[in-house]
Order: sequence, then structure tokens, then C-alpha cells
Amino acid sequence: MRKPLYVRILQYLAMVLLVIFIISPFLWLVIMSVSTSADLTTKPLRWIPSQIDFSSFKELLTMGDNSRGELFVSALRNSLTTALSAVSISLLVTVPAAWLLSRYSGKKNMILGIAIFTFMLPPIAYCIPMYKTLVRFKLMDNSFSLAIVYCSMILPFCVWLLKSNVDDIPFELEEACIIDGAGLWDRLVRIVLPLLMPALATVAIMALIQAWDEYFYAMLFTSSKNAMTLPVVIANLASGRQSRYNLIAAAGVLASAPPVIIGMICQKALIRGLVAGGVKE
Amino acid sequence: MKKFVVLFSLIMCLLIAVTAFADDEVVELRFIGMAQAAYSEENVNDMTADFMAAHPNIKVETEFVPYEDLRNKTMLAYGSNSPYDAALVDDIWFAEYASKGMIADITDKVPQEYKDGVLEGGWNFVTKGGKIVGLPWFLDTMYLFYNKAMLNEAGFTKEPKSLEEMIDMGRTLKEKGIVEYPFVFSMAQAEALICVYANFMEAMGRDFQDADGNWIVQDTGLEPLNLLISMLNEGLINPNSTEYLEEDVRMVFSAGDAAFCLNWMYVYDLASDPEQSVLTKDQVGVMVMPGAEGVKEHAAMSGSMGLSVMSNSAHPEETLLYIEYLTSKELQDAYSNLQMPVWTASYDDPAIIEGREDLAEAAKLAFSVMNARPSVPNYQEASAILQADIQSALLGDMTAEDALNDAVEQMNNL
Amino acid sequence: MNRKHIGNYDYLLIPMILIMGIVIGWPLIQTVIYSFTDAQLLEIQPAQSVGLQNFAKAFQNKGFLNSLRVSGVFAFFVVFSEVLLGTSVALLLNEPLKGVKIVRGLLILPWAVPTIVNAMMWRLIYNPEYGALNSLLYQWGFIEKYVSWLGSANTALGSIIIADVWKNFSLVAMTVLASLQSLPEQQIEAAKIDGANSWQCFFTITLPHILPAIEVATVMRIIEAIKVFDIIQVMTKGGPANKTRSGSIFIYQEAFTNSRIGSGSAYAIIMVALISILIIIYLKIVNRKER
Repeated sequence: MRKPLYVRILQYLAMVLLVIFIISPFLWLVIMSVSTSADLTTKPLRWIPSQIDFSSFKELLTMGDNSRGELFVSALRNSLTTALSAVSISLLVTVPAAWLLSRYSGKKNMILGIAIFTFMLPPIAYCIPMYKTLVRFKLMDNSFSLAIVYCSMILPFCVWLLKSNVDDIPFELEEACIIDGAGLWDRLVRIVLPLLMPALATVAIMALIQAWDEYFYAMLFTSSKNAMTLPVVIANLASGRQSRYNLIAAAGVLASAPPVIIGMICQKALIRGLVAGGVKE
Repeated sequence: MKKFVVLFSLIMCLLIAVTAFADDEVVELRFIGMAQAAYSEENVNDMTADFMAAHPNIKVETEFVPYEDLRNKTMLAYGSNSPYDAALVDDIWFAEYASKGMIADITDKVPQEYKDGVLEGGWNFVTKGGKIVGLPWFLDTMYLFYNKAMLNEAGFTKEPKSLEEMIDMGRTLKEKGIVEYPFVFSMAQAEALICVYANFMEAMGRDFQDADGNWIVQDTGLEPLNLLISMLNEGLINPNSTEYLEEDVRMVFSAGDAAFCLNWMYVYDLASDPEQSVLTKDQVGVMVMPGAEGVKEHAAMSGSMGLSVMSNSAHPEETLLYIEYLTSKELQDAYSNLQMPVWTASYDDPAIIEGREDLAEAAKLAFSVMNARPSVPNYQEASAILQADIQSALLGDMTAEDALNDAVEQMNNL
Repeated sequence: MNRKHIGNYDYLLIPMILIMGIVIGWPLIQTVIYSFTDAQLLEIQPAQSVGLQNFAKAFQNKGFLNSLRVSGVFAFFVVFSEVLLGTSVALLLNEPLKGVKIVRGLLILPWAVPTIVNAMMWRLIYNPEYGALNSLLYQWGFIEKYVSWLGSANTALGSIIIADVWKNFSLVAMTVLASLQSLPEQQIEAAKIDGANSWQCFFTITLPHILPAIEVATVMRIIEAIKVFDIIQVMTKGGPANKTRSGSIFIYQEAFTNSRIGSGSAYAIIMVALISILIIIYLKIVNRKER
């Protein structure tokens, strides 16, 4: 049955509005990042920059002692280190755990319940003792300890998603393997891991984006270019003490680029992961 | 999968290699400053680079955070394994830092030439309990900047002599349609709001606390607050002010959208910087805020900042050397176009005050009448309470009376 | 099946439990302990037990109660708008329109932009002097004067809500869209042959099918939204006049600005208790579906 014409027209109109709604704020951020300061401080605004100016990007990416570039590039590196370490640690411990929780369900499922529960609690519930502990063991301002802290939000999420994915791998495959006399290692590496690969990739990407996004702990536990992550640097820039809007915008564009590009490339996998988080059919 | 693992490990190795690089021949210092317009991050880094060139065995790492985060960052780091060696300290924090033992007593180490040469007012705010706990870096107050062109257009040839006259001028400017909102102030929920409010309190000769340190602002502060509210309601103050910090105020003033603003000394140069402002040098007037008629002639509230050696610094000697360098006369004179030096002699040096005689004069006057915000160890919390309540009153949520009563009640419970 | 009898590999859980213990269990217990003391951030005097005093004070503290209200209002409006908008967008993008695939792809953009960047971006857009929103509305004649969106009591929270909706509606839309695409088309066609009109089809077949997805997304978003910290910290820091000070911001200020980690912990525990109720509801929904 075909929809009447006016319905179709309305639908296209709605779609155009949707596209404008989605794109315009970010597009404006990109435009600001390549505008000159003067264009951004005229009234009314110049929507199309009088000249394309990449100097903000250049400033953020040029190294030099104590320069803004050094800080920004370090933050980029720290964000990457912290996110990658946190995700590797989390996956390393959750893959076997997820397998066990799936195959040997029973009262151990309580552990899964606890994991989901803690995943949803606010960071404010953990941050005070974490701060005290990090101070006591001289672990403040350190990418690695920040990565461990990030495990508190990534790890429960990983085990939860991975467990439901292991559930979908038929146990019969493993049984055949057991009959051949294979040990635990063989079962995990030869049967489970290859089949879990797509899910693992999804979980890894989502966890990476989550760690990249994190601000609260990073703000509390880092203080120098040794460990400060991008969100902290950007929040400092955006605090109202910096009136070079193009510079702030350029920092935002650079910080968004990795997750946006990964998001666009791995869209299918991501949506599968997002959906699996809530809905299981 | 294999490729992924290999790539992954490669990236990790690279990162570790980059991070693990360290040289232990030199003394490394960490300084926390603030992101502001003057001295800007670039300025401080230039100064630091010069310092490091002169002292090759010392490496200083500078970090800059917004004013709003400076105290929290300093305190969080102080308690941690990676404390700063030197910190920028606002005058209202010295009491708290000193009471917590966070900043080192340097009374005996300050060179005599500093003790003799630096302005009296500077030593006032860095001395707590008879001990010197910091070096004054810049002496500042909120000056009243005004747009001379606008005043001339309305037929005013002289600067306002009193608070009342200033407001009348603003009213006339508005009536004549010369400027929509004659005044713009930094009244966001931040310390900047208290600075503006304190200036009005000063101008009307009011105190926040009595001689024994009890809060009396619910009585003394009522009139100044009501004055601000009525100016806001009358459209004399730019209504966006409740969102503004000092930088926003500077930009509005520099865009020629305000006749008067209260702001720090750094605005003086930037307000006539052709790259950042539409105003020319002869259009920018600066003066100390006038007092209320019959009360006082001028009012100024200290917003100075000092540099301190943190008490848990591993290299107090080198750190002191660094902050001495930052406050030295030569350096301050060299950067005097950004901040007036803290050295008495500089104010009589024609090379320094040339072309800025008005500012030097205003500064001299300000230093002589300057008062401070309440100096109490829990200042930050008291201030936060006041900020919220004053904003409630400004936004019309509460009457000024209720707001101040509420604030005092909360502050008494601290 | 007798899979339970094939070996005992419980040790595989140990590394995970160890890490969870360190980063979740231990801090949580410590927070509970702190909440009964008057501990300070910088220990000048050793902490002393104060019993339930912190909790008693919490329920009399106007600031705290108000901050919980802000979190609640924020969560309500944010989630309501996101679910409404997200579901509508999902239904629209499920239609066979030209270019619909590209638009589906675009949905990922707001979700991928980091929260801090989103907050900063909207802060620039809302800027009262040079913000794009003011300029646009002014040029189109909707407003006569530039508005201080983040500085006025009645627009500040709303402005933050819009910024949050922009980023997070896409999550709801993607979830619901995925659920819609698993809806067997024969079902609808069969119903249409039976004479059902579009509306009847929607309410009897489509809606029940996507309802679980909506439910889950809603509760998930509520739990996220009630914790809100980042976006507010960057956009307003709780101002003006504490109108946007959420629970998390309040507790952060209490513990780290005012250095009172004892009472800060008590506030945090109260918030945890409130959120726990929501989580239990959520788990009930998920379990019901798995059955």
C-alpha cells in the first residue's frame, strides 16, 4: 500500500529538518575552528569565514617547551594511552570471566548482577576513596593508575556484553572439541575466541569511546601533561577565561575526530553493541 | 586479528618509550598559574624560558588552569604525590593556605631589596600571622574603565566624581540612545561577582564583617545590592552580566557596547589593542571607582595575587629562586605594559609610565585606598554561598533582604 | 546438559573479581565508612566518627535537596525529550525514503562527539555576545535583544537540556531503529489484509514490538541523566544562582572544594540509594524479557 503524497512530502520535510538538527551544531564548530578571531567576534556573526584560517590547529599541534601545542599533544597521547590500557586490561580479564559466567551459570550470576549494578552507580560514589588511595600510594597524575580507575566503568560493561555474546555461541561446538581431548586453553582460543571476535571488536570500540569521553576522574586525578587527558584540557579552555573561540573550537574538532571517524566506519558493529546493551531478542 | 594485536602492542610500546623518558641531572619544578589575559600563558612561558636559560640546571614545567579551578587544583595536588613547587595564590586564599600549612614561610629568605623595594600594600596580603608566605606578583583592583567618546558625545567632559554621578551619566547615555546598556559587570556565579559587589560595598563605605569577624553583610550589604538590582532592572546594566566573567566584560567593552565597566588592570592595554578592540587609546578612560557622595571619594578592593613556595616542595631553594625571578624588578619592568610592577620605584620611572600616566596615577591612588575582601580560612565556601544568594536576588528570585539573610545564616553555620 | 560437570574453572573469575574489588568494592565500602565521619580532604586533624549526623544534616540541607531536585528535573526533561524525539526519528528513518540510509549513518555523529566537546560547543553557541543562536534568532527576527541563555534563571537549565538531548537522542533513535528493523514485515501485511488501517497496525503490532527497546533505553537514560556532571560543569558550573547545580556537582563541591569528604560521602551514599531503586527497576525489566 502506497502512502499518500502529502505524507511522503511531510516525511521528506521532517528528514531534512532532522539532518539540519544533527549537522548544524557540529558544522558550526568546524566552521568556527577555521575562522579568524575577528570573524567570530563581529555582530551579527559572519556565517561564512572571510578567510580559511588553520592557525588554531597549527598552534594546537606545534610542539615547544611549555607550549599549548605540547600540552595538547601530550593530552592526545595520554587519552590514547589511558583508553587503550583500560580497555586492554578490561578485555583481558573479562573474556575468560564472561565465558565462565556463561557456561557455568548458576549462583555465580550474582557476580554479573553486581557488575551491572556497579556499572550504573555514579562515579561520585567512588571518587573520594579513590583520590585518597591514589594519594597514599603516590599514584596521582599517572596514566596507568587512571586506566585502572577507568576499569571501574569499563570492566562491568565489558563482562556484561561479552557474557550475553558467549551465550549465543552454541555449546555443542565446544563439546565436540572436548571429545577430541582438547583442554581449556584450546577450547577458548580455537572455538570461543574466533566466534567472539565480532562482539569483542564491538565491545572494544565502545569501551574505547567511553574511556575517551571520560572527564570526571581525569579532572580529579590528573594535574599535568604527564597524564592530563583531552577532556580536561578542553574543559579548561572552555571555562570562559579564553576568548579565542576558534582555538577552543579547533580543540573540540580534534578531540571529536577519532570517535566520530571510528563511529562512522564501525557503525554496524556499534549499533549492534548498543542494542545488545539493552535489548535481547 | 593478528594485525590488530601487533598494531596494538606497537602503539603501546611506543607510548611507554615516550613516557619513560626522564633526565635526572636537572632539578625539575612545577608551577601552577592561571589562564588569563595578562600575564598570559605565553608571557609566563617566555619568562620561564628566560629563567631556564639563566639557570640551566633548573627545568620549570608550567601549568595553567582557569581561575575557578586554581584553588581546587592546588589543594588536590598539594595532598598528592605530585605536588606543585610554586603556585599562584589569590589574596583571599593566603589565609586558608597558611592555616593549612600549605605554603612555606619565607620570611627570612626574602632578599632585603625586595622587602624595601616592593609596595607596602603588596606585603600586606602575603603576610599572615607575621610571616611572609609569598611574594606579591601583581597588585590589582577592579578599576573603572569608561568610554571617553561616549561620555563626550553626551556632553560629559570629566570623569564621574561620585557613584551617584556615574549612575546618572549612565542613565543619560541610555536616554540619549548613545549606548543601550551603559554598564557591564562580571556577575556570573563566580568570585568575579563578589569582586564587583565588594567594590560597590567599598564605594558605599560598607564592610562584610564587623571588627570581631561576625558577618554583618545582611544589614550593610542591603543597599549596595539593591542598587545593583535597580540598575539591572532599569536596563543600565547589561542583562547578560549574570553570565559574564571578566573576559566577557572586556570583550563587550572593547566592542564599544558599554560606557563603563569594572575590570582588572590588564584591560587597560587590551581595550585599545587594534586587534582586539574597536576603541582607540584616547577613547579608553581609567579611574579608581568613585565613592558614594559624602562617604568617600574613591574605593578600591584588592584583587592582588602572589606567588608562593609550597611547603612540601622538594626544591624550596630553586623554587624561591624562580618566584623571585618572576617578581624581580627587571622582569616586571620589562612586562610593565601588561601589569604594573609591584615595585615602588617603577611608578616614578618615566620610561615605564610613559603613555600610561593615567593608569599609573589611578594605580597609585588605588593602592592608597585599597581594602580587602574578608580574610577568613573558609573564604571560598562563604563566597560560594554569597554568590548564589546574590545571584538569586539579581535574577529576581528573592528579595535582596531574604537573599542576604539566607547567606548570613548559612555562613554562620559553617 | 551436563556442562556443569566438565572441570572446574572458577579461577578464571579471580582476576576480574580482584580488579572489581580494588576499583569498585573497596572504594564503595570506604565511602560508606567516610560517611559516618567528619573526614577532611587534607588531613589536619584525624577523622572522628560522628554517627548519623551527616545523614541527618543532609535531609535538612536546602542546597542538597535542591540539587537533587535539579538532577530530577534535568533527568525527567532530558529523557522525556530524548525518548519522544528518538522514537519519532526511528519511525521516520524506518520508512522507505530516498537517502534514508545516509541519514541513519549521520545518527552516529552526535553520539560520537565527546560529552565535553558537546558542552563546549553549545556553550559557544549560546554565548550571549557572539553565539550563533543569538545571531540567528536576531537575524530572523525572533528576538529583539540578545539573550543570556546560560545566565538567566529560567533558560539556563533548559539550554543545557537541549544540548544534552542533541547528543543523546541519537542513542535512543538507534536502539529503537534496530528494534524496528527486526519487525517481520509479513505481520503487518497480514494485518493489512485483515483490513487494519495504518494506525491500528501501529498500535497493535509496531508499538508492542518496539516497546521493550523503548523501555530499556528510557531507564538506561534516566540512570545516566540523574548522575549528570560533565555537561553542567563545563557549561555553567551550577550557576546562575545554583539553578543548574545537580546532585553530582553539589557533592563534588562539598567534598573537593569545601574539603569535607565526610559529609560529601554521606550525600553520595544517599544518591546511590536513590539511583539503586532505578537500577532495580531496570534489572526487573531486562529479566522479564529474558524469561
